[in-house]
Amino acid sequence: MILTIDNVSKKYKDKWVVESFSLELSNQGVYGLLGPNGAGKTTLLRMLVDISEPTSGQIKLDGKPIQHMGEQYRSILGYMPQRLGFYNRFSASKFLMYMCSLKGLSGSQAKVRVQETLALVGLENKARDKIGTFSGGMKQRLGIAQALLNDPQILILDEPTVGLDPKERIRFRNMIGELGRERLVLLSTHIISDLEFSCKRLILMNEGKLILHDTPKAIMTSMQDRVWKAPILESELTELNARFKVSSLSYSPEGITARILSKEKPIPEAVPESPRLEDVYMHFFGEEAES
Amino acid sequence: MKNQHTNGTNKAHSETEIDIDEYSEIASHLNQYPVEFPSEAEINRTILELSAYMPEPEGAKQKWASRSLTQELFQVVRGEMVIFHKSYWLACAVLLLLGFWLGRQHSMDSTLIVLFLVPIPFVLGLLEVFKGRDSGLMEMELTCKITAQQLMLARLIVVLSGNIVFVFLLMLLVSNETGDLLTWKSAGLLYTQLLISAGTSLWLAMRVRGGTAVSLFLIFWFALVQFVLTLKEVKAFIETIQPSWLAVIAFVGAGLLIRQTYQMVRKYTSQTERGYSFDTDHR
Repeated sequence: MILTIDNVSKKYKDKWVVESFSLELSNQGVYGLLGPNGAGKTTLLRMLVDISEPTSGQIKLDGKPIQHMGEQYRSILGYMPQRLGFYNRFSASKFLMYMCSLKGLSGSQAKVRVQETLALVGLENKARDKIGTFSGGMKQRLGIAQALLNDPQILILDEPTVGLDPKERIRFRNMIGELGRERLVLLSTHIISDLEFSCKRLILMNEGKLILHDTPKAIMTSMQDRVWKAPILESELTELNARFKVSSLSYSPEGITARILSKEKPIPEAVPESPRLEDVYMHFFGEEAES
Repeated sequence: MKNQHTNGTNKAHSETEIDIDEYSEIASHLNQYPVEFPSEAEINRTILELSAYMPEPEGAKQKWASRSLTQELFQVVRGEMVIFHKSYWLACAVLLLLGFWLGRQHSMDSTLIVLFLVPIPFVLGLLEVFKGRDSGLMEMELTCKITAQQLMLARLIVVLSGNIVFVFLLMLLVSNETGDLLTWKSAGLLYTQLLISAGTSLWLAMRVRGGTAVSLFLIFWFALVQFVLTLKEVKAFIETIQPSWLAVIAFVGAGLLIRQTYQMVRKYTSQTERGYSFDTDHR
């Protein structure tokens, strides 16, 4: 199975939100779409799930434009949008049964899948509770569950970890890793830790354009010898930020340690460090990563 | 080839031209590389395999889609009736009983009672029609096998059908006491009124949130009711309206309702995100 994004662009009024984006996603695995807020990730995903039409270019599945496939494409698709909505008076199981009916599952199939997906996201004990009583994290998990109901071959998740606490994030990462073994998963996020461990390929996007796509290892290898660690004084912070890109600062009783991005040794006290994804984020997007 | 250029005639050759002698020279070499033309069966097989990837003619696709849509639509209609909130059916039942009770008040005009109650179930039903949009589910619904547009159309069918039955039952219940509503003219008047109200309220609901549209319409409607009740000339006009004029108004009402329904299905919503408007132009 090959999902091809062929020179796709999307324009709203006078602004190109996605511009000349080309990429090929094949077979199983987790693809991480990383970019800052406003990069165009959500717009791209909306075109991938065929709810927004590209201004130019095409998206194809195994050579067939998805716009011509209609129901055939939607039946293998699972989508979790960035903004989730629910019927708050529905219970979790009733809502998922409703979504099963929209996805064309039979009654018996639906009952099984609802139980399975609720268990997968850890909401099996909340099946009969009204969604209006759920916390934000529980609603996110329910959103993931509805995307999995039809056992999709292509799973597209837009900022799925927003609102999840650290324990839920770890659970989510493990789940995504498992799901990625059997299907194509495209996960859009601006949070580094979502992608650190489970990603087959990273797709970096900014201002509507594809910056880079490669394995996380290859991307970090390209940053070798560019990451430095150095102890600094608080009074030196301002000057350091003005001269270099600082990917992170850590504070301890001994003082402040800065991770600095530079082709050459930035300050005498700096020592080389192995690059991390947050360094990649700072290097390509010029802002501190959220993790 | 070089020898050919130096032998023979002094004809000027372009680089791409060869004469018969040159061709004869190379023909024997080319015979070692036969290129067989594919058989008819192979050609037909290739055409058959590639035809799966060819888009269908526009007319054929729409015809197929409309047959499938109709079948699927009625399946969805059946399902959606169950999903409707119980309070909607309860409200319709209460309105029916209210109409029946008001009809027994001999001081009140039965025609006017029914006329004013006619559009309320449809207007309240718009809350159900647009609940996916207003609850933020539309993006998820659009990516399902049964799309958001099909859902809204199915719910609209449920609400409109329910209102048609409601009007008929109301006519029966009120006429049980007064006997003056079971006429073709009365039925024409009431259903014309339904078409106009349905088209207008649907137009409004497509532009604002469902709850806001319902509130605005009902406020306007009750204001109109008050206005009509105070003016005997209006009542007289309604009662004496010619059937031909009624037919024209019904036609306009039906046209408005059909147009709004078509717009709703074709291109539904406009959402704003970070200052940009985007249309979910799903087909």
